[in-house]
Amino acid sequence: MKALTHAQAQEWLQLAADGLLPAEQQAQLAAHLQSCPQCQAYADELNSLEGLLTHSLESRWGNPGLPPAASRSLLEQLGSQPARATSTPWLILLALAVAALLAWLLFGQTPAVPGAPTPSPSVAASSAAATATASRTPATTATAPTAPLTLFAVPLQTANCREGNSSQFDIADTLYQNERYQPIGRGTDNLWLQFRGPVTQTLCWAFVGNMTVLLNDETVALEDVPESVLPYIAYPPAPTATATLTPQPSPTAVPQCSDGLDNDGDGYTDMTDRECSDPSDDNEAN
Amino acid sequence: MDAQTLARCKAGDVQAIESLVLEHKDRLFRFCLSILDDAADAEDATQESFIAALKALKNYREESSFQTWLFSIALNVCRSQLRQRKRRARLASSAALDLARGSSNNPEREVIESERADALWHAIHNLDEKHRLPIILRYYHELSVQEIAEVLGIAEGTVHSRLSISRLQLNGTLKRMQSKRANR
Ligand SMILES: [Zn+2]
Repeated sequence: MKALTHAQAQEWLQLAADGLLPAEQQAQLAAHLQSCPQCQAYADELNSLEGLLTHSLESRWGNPGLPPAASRSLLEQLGSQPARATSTPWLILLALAVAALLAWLLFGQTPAVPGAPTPSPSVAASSAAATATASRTPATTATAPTAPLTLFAVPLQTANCREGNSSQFDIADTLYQNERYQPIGRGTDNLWLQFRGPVTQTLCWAFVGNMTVLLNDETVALEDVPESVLPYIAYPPAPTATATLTPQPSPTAVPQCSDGLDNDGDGYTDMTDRECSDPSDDNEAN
Repeated sequence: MDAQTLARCKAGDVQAIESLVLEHKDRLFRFCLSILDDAADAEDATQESFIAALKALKNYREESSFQTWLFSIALNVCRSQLRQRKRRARLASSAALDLARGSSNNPEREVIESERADALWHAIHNLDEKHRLPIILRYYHELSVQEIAEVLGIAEGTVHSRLSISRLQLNGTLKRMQSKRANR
């Protein structure tokens, strides 16, 4: 059996700390530690650090439970609104409102509703002007009610949904592997998709490289998705650090995950390196 | 949680939901507390997380444990709270702690003046989120590397590399602190 180097032994100690060292290698490591004071000292230091970490965090937060008042209020809330599918009535109302608005813009009439009073002639008189207005602004909603195309994005691995199109933006939500999500927009470069965060309900962006785009259940390139199905949306401006924040890495520097170099020397470059979450990630090593 | 309770929860059975909440509420509260470092905010986040989790229950696959799934939902709720907090701080143009990025006004001074455990906590707090969360999940919540990977949605190898880097960095901080003390 080949002797362990000190560097390797210390790497194995780190693996062992995370419960990731196979039993066979544990025995080999133990043998090395017996004959190597240097690595034994490293092991002792790591061990004591781990004890301190637990102690430190426990002395900060203790071991509290959810306070009784909060527990009661939570149970009351959940009891009064049992789990159910996301309610849709407001969506239907919204669709009706949009239809009514369009009808008014295009025909100067309220939509024909059985039993509803007929529109007065004075409203119809303004229809020409209203039609002109409608034709100037591209009515993005006009195709929505009848669009037969369904579009989904399916993450190949769990992905961050961020407030903008780079890892410099905060994470707003998570999109889970193999779930179907409906994008609501895309960046002008077809590299990022915009979603409504499933948990936080905030608008957020996810890198398209780690996703399958399904148009009517068929995999397509994002470029080939018609604009009527998925509009282009301008990216938000790069986040600006406020005066109180620690200085951020210069935004003009090319991030490690798109600089064409194998920065961490693991044989993988940029987005082929699994440590790269997206091309703007500035750390290829992890 | 057993499959039967889960199915009853999905069907909206109030009793099953109650037992689910009772089983997980304390651990979830501690999880939120360890991200937000504020008990009142953690209470809100715990409630919000349960409500979000019950709405999303149909998406829960039993391939990960219910607890790690719940934690991953709570993490998003907590992140959203941290962002609101950051915005409030910006509006007030205060020089308050930036918890989301973990920068502190004067870490050197705090480190020297604190007790060892407290100082180490500040060092953890000053790590960026992707290094801080694995440390907190491993050493406060005592999760396995596999569970941490599930909560954070990253590979196990990535969890390990982040833990290793953080341990080396925190150990370095401790050593510097000790040598500074010895010199006083
Ligand atoms: Zn050695």
